[in-house]
Amino acid sequence: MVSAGKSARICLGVIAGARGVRGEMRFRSYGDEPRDLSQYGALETQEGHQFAIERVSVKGGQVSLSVHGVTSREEAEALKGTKLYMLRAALPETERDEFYHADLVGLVVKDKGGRQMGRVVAVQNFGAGDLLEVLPDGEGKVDASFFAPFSLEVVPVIDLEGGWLTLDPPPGLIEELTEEEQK
Amino acid sequence: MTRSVWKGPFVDGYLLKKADKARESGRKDIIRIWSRRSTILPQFVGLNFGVYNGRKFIPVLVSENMIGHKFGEFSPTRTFHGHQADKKARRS
Repeated sequence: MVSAGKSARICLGVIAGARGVRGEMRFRSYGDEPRDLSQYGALETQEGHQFAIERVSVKGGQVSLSVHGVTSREEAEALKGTKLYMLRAALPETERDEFYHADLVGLVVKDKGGRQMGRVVAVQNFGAGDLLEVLPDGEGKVDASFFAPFSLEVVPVIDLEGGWLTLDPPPGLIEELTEEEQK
Repeated sequence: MTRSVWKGPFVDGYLLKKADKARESGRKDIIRIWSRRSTILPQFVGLNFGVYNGRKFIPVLVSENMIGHKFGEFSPTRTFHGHQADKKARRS
């Protein structure tokens, strides 16, 4: 798995069906902020067909959107199941110490000495802060992965251009249990 | 007074000992625990726990707004790998 470069496409969600009779569509968004969809300009399908977003509305957790050129319910129904993508390069710049998941996933993980440890396979948040899921080298199964807190102490250096980050795991994060701990 | 209030929050004894030891040492080690049923107490704030989910230890840095919750709430046993989309992560 390789980190998404600037030319990579990111899937933002899938059209779930039609809403109303004027071409409005229900949209299942994969992102945290569906309202941002309107700021991203034209989105495209897997085949490269472009859609200009005209309006995005969020009511009670349901996202609906209107796109240029789709004006009837039948046209909207025909697009059901279509995934919408955008270029990674079109995403706005992040703030300091803020990173897109798409940039982090696939980065090579090195220890403080520069030795490769593994790769980032996912970014999760279970309610206690962001966590990087790291799959150690030589391990095929995702079960062998471990989670590392996404903090300045544990991940002091991130080089997105170079495609790597440094992990300084605190004691107890990776190593096997001692006999005392197993009691 | 309801029975649950009278009884107070439940915490496994070994966990309190481990937390005391970690606080005294002042180190930032991950405290590996298996007690998902224990309530998070104010004295745990700032400590790093690794909460077992049946397969691995999930790091949980305890903050003030977690007080009163159980450790297990922050260490799900079933992981859903969703889509990346335009989600952002903040390095704290």
